[in-house]
Amino acid sequence: MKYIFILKLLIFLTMIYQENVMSSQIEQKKYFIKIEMKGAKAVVYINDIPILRNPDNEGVVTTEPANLWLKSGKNTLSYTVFPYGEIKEYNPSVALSVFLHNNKEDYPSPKEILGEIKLDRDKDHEYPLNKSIEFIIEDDVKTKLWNDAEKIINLSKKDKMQIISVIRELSEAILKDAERAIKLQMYKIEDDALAEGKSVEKLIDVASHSYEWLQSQKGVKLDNIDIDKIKFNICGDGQLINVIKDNGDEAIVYESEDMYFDIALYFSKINGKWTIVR
Amino acid sequence: MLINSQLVKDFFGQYYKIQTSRDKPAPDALQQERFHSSEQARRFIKNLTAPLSFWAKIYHAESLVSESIQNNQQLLSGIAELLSRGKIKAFKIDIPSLTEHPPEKRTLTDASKNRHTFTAASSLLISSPKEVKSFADKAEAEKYLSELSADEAQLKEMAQELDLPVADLGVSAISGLLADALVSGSVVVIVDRYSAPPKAEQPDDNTVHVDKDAGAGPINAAAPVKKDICNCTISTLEVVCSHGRSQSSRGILQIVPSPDRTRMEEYELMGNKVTLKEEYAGEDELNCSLGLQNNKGSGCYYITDETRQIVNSESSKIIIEGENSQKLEKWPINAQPETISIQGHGCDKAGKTVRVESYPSQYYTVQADLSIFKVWADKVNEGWEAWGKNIFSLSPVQLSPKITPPTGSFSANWGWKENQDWRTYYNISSDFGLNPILGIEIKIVLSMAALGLTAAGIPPNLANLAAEHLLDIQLSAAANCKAALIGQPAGKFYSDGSKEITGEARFTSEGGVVLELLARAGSDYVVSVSLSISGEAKVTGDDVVSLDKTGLYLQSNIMLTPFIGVAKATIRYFKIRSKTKSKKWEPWSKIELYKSENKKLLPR
Repeated sequence: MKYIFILKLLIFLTMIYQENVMSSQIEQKKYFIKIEMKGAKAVVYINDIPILRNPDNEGVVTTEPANLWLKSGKNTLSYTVFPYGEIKEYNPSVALSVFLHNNKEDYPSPKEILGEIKLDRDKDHEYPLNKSIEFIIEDDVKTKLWNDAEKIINLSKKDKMQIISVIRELSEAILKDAERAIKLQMYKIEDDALAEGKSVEKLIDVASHSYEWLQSQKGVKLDNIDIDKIKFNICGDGQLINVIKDNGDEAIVYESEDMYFDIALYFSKINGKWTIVR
Repeated sequence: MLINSQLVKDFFGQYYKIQTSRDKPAPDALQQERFHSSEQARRFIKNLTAPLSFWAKIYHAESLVSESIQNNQQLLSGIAELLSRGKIKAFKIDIPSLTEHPPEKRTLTDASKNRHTFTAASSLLISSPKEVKSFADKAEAEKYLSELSADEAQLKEMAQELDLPVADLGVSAISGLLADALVSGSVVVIVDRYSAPPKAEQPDDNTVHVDKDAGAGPINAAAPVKKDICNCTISTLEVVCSHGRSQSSRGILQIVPSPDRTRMEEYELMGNKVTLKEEYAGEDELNCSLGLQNNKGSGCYYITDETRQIVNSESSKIIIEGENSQKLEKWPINAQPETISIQGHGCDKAGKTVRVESYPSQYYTVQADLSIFKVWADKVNEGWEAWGKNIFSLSPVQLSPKITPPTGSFSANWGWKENQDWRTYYNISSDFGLNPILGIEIKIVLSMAALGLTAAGIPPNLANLAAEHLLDIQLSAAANCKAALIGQPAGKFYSDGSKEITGEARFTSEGGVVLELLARAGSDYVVSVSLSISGEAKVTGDDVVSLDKTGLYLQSNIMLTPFIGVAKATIRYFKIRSKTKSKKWEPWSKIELYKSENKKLLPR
């Protein structure tokens, strides 16, 4: 009788534990942005941060994690469509939506559409075309960046040199010293883990493997980083600096015999120091 | 007795004596007009210029009991019936010949001063002489002639006046010719005994009297004949149909009688029973008018068609009737027209002709239930299922497409129509308002690992990823297509082989196939996967509806254009993309979702 009671107690405790684990998973909210573009040369923004560039008028379909770009409260979703080729033949299509993922599904699936915006072909035919909507996220978005990052109005030459210095160090470390590369991106990895409910250790392990795999690629080498061809875009209400090449490519690009490997770079000034944050 | 008031004239100036059964029998030598039917007799009557009152007198003179005539049609029908049965007779009389040849030149006087006037037997139809000499044989006639002691000149002149072919004959031959005519009865001798008082101021009984306005009614015996003097010649003949169209410069007018009857029949379209509206029968009225030069208004001109309906008016109407049959050709594009040759003449015999070609009047309209397209649309949708099965190795159950049936309308009409000019054409008109003609939504979800086992294969760039990471990528394919078939293709096919095709039924489609690669939500390694698309998979249709002389065809040739994309994977913490465009992923080339035979929609 005594053993039966103990057994029932163990089963009860196990159930409570499982429920706690599941509820913890349910509470971890994931947000995504779905981007569908056809024939549009365009840039997509969340909170004024460029998250996707389509350099020509080909189509793009993708669903990207959005937690890293969102804030609690008011957010904006916007796009700019640029002119491309003959205006008579230019017939771009853009459809964007930010949604809350249905955690019961393995793959991104809308539980709730928080904001969506489309290009209206009947009304919108003057380019460049800017469209923007606002949407609200009532829950707490678990990132620390928006609290930590200073607001930047202008970048000095010194700021730019410091940022370039970090970029060069990272670009070399990725090919030669993965541990150093991870250390340079620790703030980014920690905020990533926080935003997606992952362990920092796991992400460090994944990044290490990724860099090892990159290093193993045949003939991989770093494209030249020319400071004169680097653009520093202040975005995200002045809290982020998006660094790209003036041709629209990412600042760090490796190429192997048949592949490119791009690294998107966003810097913030955290505690007076330029830090890779996204 | 009516006697001379029974003399009437037709529109061409020919005189007839209408003989009732109460009249003195006509000489045997005279041939009455023969009628094979009362309809033929009726047409004969219509060409005579007698008023209805004349026919009423004839009808009552013939009737044993007084019958009331309800209307004019009944009267004329009654007369026609009497004529066709021979109860009353019509004899042709050459009045101009009688009046042109004065009796003096045909009269011999014997020793007793009795006057013997030789005259055509038909003159007995319009006169009542006291004594008419008859002959049993030629010998008696020759003896009679010799006793009159006429010399050669007298006999020759008399024979000429009687229109006998004397030419260069001698006296005995002329005498023989006259004797033959007397024996046959074509020439008779009226004897006026000397004792009879002379009537210098009054016409003799054997004098022909006709109304000077003959042609407008029965002949008035009191007035002498005046011959119309006219030398008119035709300058134009115009034939105008009831829709205001006239003949071409080459004298051809093609017409289609306007149908005035309608019936509904069962018809089959694409294997489905539909209702066919058939308009048929009806008529077209042709207004024919002459232009004449030197016309004295004597009425010697005339218009005629092949059925010998003839009028001497400068204008006339001819009715052309559409076929009224229980079973009519449903696609009469090869029907031969009924041809009517209308001729106009002046009195100089010169003529002009208009050829009227009457095409079938039946016209068909069909309003189809859309179920006729359902089978076709279902076939296209089956093509989608085959696409899912062949490219992605999915079963129909896994595909579970959502299908929208055809909605809208379809109608067509065909048959002969009149062009605005002199021509007719075979018209085929259709109206497709099928929106959508088909609609389908399919959602396909496949893991990248499973995709690698299908015809689509793994997008090239992603093949570099380790198998464990591929498990975190999923393909989502959404086919969302709505196609419409809208338009009014029409064709005009003329009898000379020319044609005009206007309008078209356009197959349009919205949507197509959207492929998306998704990274598993919460994947440690794969952040996202995007597809840059250079080839958009759309649904297209080529020459879906075609129209020619043999009918309206529907050929379902529905294609799905290729999808061509480049996959880009974002892993932690960089993106992978191909260096060359050759790394494109093309899971299928152009796919024929469905291609049918060139199925004939019309006629069945």
